[in-house]
Amino acid sequence: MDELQAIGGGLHPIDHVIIGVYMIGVLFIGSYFAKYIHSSGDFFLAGRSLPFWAIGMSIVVSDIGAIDLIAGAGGAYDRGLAQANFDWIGSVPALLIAAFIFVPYYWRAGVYTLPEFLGRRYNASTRWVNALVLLVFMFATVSILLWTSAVFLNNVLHWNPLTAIWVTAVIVGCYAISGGLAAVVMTDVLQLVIMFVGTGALLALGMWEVGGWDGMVEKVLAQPGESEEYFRLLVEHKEGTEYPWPGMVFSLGIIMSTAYFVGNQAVMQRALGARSEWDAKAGMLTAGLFKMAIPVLVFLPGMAARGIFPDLESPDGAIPTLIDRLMPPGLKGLMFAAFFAALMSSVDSYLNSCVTIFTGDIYRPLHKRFTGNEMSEKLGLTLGRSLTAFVLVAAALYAPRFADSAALYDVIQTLLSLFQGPTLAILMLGIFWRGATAWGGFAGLVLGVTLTSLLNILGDAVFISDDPYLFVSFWSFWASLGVTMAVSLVTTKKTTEELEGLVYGSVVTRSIKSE
Amino acid sequence: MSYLTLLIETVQPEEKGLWVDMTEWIRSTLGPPLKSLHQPLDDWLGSLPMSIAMACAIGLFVVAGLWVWTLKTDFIFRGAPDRNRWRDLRLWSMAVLLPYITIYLLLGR
Repeated sequence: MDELQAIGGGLHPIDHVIIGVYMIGVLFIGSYFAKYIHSSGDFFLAGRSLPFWAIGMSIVVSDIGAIDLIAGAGGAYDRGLAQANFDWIGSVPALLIAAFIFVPYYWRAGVYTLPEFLGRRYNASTRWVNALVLLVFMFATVSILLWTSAVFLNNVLHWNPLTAIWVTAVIVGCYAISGGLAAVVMTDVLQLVIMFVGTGALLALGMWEVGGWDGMVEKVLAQPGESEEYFRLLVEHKEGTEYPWPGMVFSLGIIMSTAYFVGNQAVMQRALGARSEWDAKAGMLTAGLFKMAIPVLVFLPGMAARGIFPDLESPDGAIPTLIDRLMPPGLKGLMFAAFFAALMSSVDSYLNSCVTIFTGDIYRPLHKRFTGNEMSEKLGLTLGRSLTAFVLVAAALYAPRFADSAALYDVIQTLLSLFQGPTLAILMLGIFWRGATAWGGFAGLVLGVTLTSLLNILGDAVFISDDPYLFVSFWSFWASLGVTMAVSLVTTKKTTEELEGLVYGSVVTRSIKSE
Repeated sequence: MSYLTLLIETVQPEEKGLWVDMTEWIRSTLGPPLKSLHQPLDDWLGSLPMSIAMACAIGLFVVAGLWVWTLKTDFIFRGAPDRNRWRDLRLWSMAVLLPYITIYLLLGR
């Protein structure tokens, strides 16, 4: 985000006012919901009161961080339209699967987190491993995002990076600690509107400047080495291609995206906070509708920048350069508010989910084991708020360590791919196959994550791409599926009574028949 | 270099040498045999025409759309305050899927 530095100097006082008003507005809306929080259920699941539109909007804006705005547009500048697959084929089929299979299942089974389901369906070890993996991922994500905000504010407003980290942490902390999930989701709604208005203005200016779609095609194709492939969603499977079509369709479209949406606590927690099962399912479909706009609003400006400024030093400079050269005062401030909105919405979502998993899957079982009692609602609320503050402070302290890591976006993707395939494999077998055993699930998860790490290290020594997370997820899914089935066949199965309320037939099908 | 390496460097920068040695050993030992296993698949996928790629991508959306219509009406409306036509999530699914199918038809290849 060094490219943003040049723009920071060009900010008009009106831009600073807009950024300030935006920050105060977020704080106000977020803090407003504190008065509705009286129990841990209110804090972690918004008292099960969320409407479908807020769920859908929150899922989309939590998923699109500032890193995606910069790096996603940079990817489109560099590689073209194929980048859009991440939000199109990499979202919609999975959101339908989540809406009509997993959301009703979680909702009726009374499960609050993925590790909780894995613990009930398999064993405590599987729950712990999954919870720890998710905690590490979410903590690292919060930390990375805080560092990104530091770089962003340093470049734009010339703030000291450490000051910027703590300002972001304090703003997010104020509403996330007091208002819980409800505050996070409702501020996300505001953040999405600001993000869409800001990026929409940039899209309009960028497309106008490049001469519309036809002008963009003409200017890009006139550049040396460019071909029609730049404007295609599906790219040939050949050596050196980063996004070959089999990886996009079979890995991203079926495995990675499904694993992401059904295994991501930040997504599922919103659905579980819905005011009804219908709202939970409709929220997922609403997210699918809003997702359609992301490549248009984010990646298309990146491609337009390729037509207007073909010689940028770094592809990640696409969006900052467009802002610098094309946006008038006022709109610049709005665009920076959009960046900050994207950042904060991701930080607050992962923070809230991280604390939910720690409270529900680490502390709650230990509390019951040592005291013999269930954790009270009051204690749950106090713990939730205290841990939110603790995790935020710890992530802020750790954030500067990411200073030397240039490829933050890819680090997150790699972290995700480490456990996406294996988790989806044992989750699907656990729900749909009565024969899956406790040791089968544990072996599938541990060996799957180990294999994923190994394949990541092997990288281009085996696969056609240098950064082959698409293929790694695909193979780790099938390997985990095979290991879980093989171990399950030779270990003790759970009885029908033990599986009651855990496998799909006994949760969803039976409840439909009984209606 | 794997991005996993970048992540580990941020955690334990002082052990970078050991990590690099280990990853290089893994790549030189396991890389060639696994590459020879994966290469035929890469060759086959590389030989397929792009019309197959587009058919697979659009097929994914179409199959999802058809599957939604196999779901029972009670299941679709469960939790809804009424059964107005606009609350039918199968219609929502069509509204979501059709633009994507159009986009992939136009820009898939």
